[in-house]
Amino acid sequence: MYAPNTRRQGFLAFLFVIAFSFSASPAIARVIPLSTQLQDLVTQGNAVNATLAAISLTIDNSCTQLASAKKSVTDYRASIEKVSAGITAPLTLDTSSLTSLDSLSNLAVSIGGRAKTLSIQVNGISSTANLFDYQASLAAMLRLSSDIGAMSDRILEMANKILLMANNIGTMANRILVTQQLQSANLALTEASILTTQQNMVALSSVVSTLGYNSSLSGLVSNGNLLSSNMTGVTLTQTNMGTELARIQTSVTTYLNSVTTLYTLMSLNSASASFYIDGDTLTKLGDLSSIHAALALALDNYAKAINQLTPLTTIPVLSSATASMLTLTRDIGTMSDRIMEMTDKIIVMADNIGTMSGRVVDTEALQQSNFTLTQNSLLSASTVTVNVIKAAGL
Amino acid sequence: MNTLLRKPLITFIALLLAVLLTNPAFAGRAASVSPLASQLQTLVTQGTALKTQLTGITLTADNLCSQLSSAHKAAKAYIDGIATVSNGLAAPLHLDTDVMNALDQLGYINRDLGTQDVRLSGNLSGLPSSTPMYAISDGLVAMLQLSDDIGTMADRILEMADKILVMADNIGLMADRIVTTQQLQSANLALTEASILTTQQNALALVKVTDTGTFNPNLQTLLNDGNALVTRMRAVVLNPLTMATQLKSTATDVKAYLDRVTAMRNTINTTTATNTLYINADSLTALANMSVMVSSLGTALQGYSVAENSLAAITGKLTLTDALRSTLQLSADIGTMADSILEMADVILAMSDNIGLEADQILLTQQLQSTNLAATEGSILSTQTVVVGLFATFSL
Repeated sequence: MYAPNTRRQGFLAFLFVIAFSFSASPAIARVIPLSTQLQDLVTQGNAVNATLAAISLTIDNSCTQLASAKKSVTDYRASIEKVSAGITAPLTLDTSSLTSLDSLSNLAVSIGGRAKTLSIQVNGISSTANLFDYQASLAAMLRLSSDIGAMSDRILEMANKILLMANNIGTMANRILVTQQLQSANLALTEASILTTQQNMVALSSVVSTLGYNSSLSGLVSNGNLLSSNMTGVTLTQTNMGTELARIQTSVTTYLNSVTTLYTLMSLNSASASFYIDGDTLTKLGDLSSIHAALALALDNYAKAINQLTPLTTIPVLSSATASMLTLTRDIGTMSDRIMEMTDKIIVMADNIGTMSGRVVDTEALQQSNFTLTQNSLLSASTVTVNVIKAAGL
Repeated sequence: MNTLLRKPLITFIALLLAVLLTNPAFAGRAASVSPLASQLQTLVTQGTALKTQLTGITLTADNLCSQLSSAHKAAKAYIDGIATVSNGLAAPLHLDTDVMNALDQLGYINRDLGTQDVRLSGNLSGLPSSTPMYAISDGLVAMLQLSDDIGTMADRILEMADKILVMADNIGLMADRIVTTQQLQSANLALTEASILTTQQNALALVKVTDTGTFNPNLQTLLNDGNALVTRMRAVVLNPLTMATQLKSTATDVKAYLDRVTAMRNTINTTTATNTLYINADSLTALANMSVMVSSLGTALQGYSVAENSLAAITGKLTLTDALRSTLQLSADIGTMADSILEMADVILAMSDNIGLEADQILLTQQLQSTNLAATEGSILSTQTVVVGLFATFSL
């Protein structure tokens, strides 16, 4: 029924499919000699070595450069594993294969040395940057050294596998021994480089337990509560508002200085160390945010009282009182900000964020809610004060 | 003549105008912009550039580190800029509409930066599940830092606005405008803080940490069984008749144990693909003890090679060949075992959340493991040297 042309086309297509199936079949595929595969690994290893040698880490390029180094080492390790997995007995060892194994082992040493050099460069960055800025590089270096260690292991394991499957160990004995001795010595060198790299990086990882801040935070909580009682206990009149607010302002400034001192200490610590979060620290930071909300509320009540007393108050007293009110608004706002920032700094630099993440989220939510209350009270106090200044023509 | 005189005069006037107009003091007065307004406008320009930078970022697994790191640097520079202006403020300050407009714009910029922060945290949460945990971990720390930066800049802007108000000498005249700015800034700060909280929650939701203590029972069982294996290997006394079967049996025993060590290593690798690790000191101790145990296996193996060397002359060729093959198998497997144990420790260190806290223990473990690996490799090399020599001597 088919026309001759159609039949011929169908036949050709059939032949093409058969030919393609055979060419794609692994059994028919050309077997690449082991020596060639090993030489290809040497070529790839040289490229990886050159990539690592070309890296010069700076604070701006460290994360991209180290990510690229890791990728090339990971890909290389995968290539070694692929060749190793494809090795089947019996094997006939030749000088070329053993020379390639020597080269691979030498490359592992060289690549290990590159990692050590890079770790020294990260060390150099650390002297000019904050811990956070080079923290990612530090972690990346540890991952790179882990990859290089695994790569070196795979090379040695492949060499052992080749030895195990060889059918001419006796005739190649002397040459094999040279390779084995070289690989053993090189493994020791590679491991020494990796160990130095790890030591360099671990030495840069210092940690401060936030437990050390708890005593200062407890002092701030106690003094904050005292200040809050003090502020709530003040009743402003047209005669005392200037002096009372000046007195409160002095207390708040002293308190703000204590908050700022702790904030400065924590900021300095976070530049060079990570934090191990103690649960009580979070509790106290949450408590402080509640106290600040109470201080801001007291301030808002002052503003309302001043507004009511304005017609009865002399200009000098009113002027002094409103100036104090603006300063108080600024200071209470600043201390509220600093407490939020302390929590943020602790979270960013946390050493145990995983185990504390639930507590951290709870504290953040509490602080956020208190921060909103504080800001609302401060806005209200500030608005009233500015309007008093306008109304009184101060 | 007139033309000749006029030309230098015009040139002189043009030069004079150019000098006066390029003089900052004169130029400032000519444009009627106060120095404070000008400084704030510079901050607005810097803040707008930062906003544009953040808006242009789409996070992927490959660019997490570079993009967030660059955003952090720009944010830090912006915070420094705000601090410089704020620290330079001195009373009395005269408020004008330009100053208030600039403060309003700074508030809006911060709100927008907060919005971008949330968007980027959404990018991070939406990364494909194939993204390695170490990349996510680096990314989430960088996100938390960026949120901290944006929160800090919002605080600094509000504090600068408060400081300006405290130092102002015309509050009464500008009262309505001031109140408008403060309301706006307060509302924008609330929005910024809400964005920061959402970002922090998004980032913290990505935290997946496994305590290495969960590996401890398996590590301890492996250690106990490994020590039992050492005892069994030491108890083997090779003889020329049964050497091949003895070593074959031992090789099978060691291979079975190696498979369990490999399974443990795979478990740790699989775990670290999706989790960071919280180091439990006992895990490090168990790994260090395992390296001691493997070193003992290496010593026992070296003893076999010494025995084989002594017995080779009185051992049948086939038996000797099989025995030597088994010994090579044992050396390869014990070498792989030593590698695997060291790699487990390396991976735990590389994916650890709490290096700082465990630094001393980590260093001790690494040093001990390195020493034990060297000892194991020494035994393996010695064994292989003897075995390969026997292959050559007896033409096997």
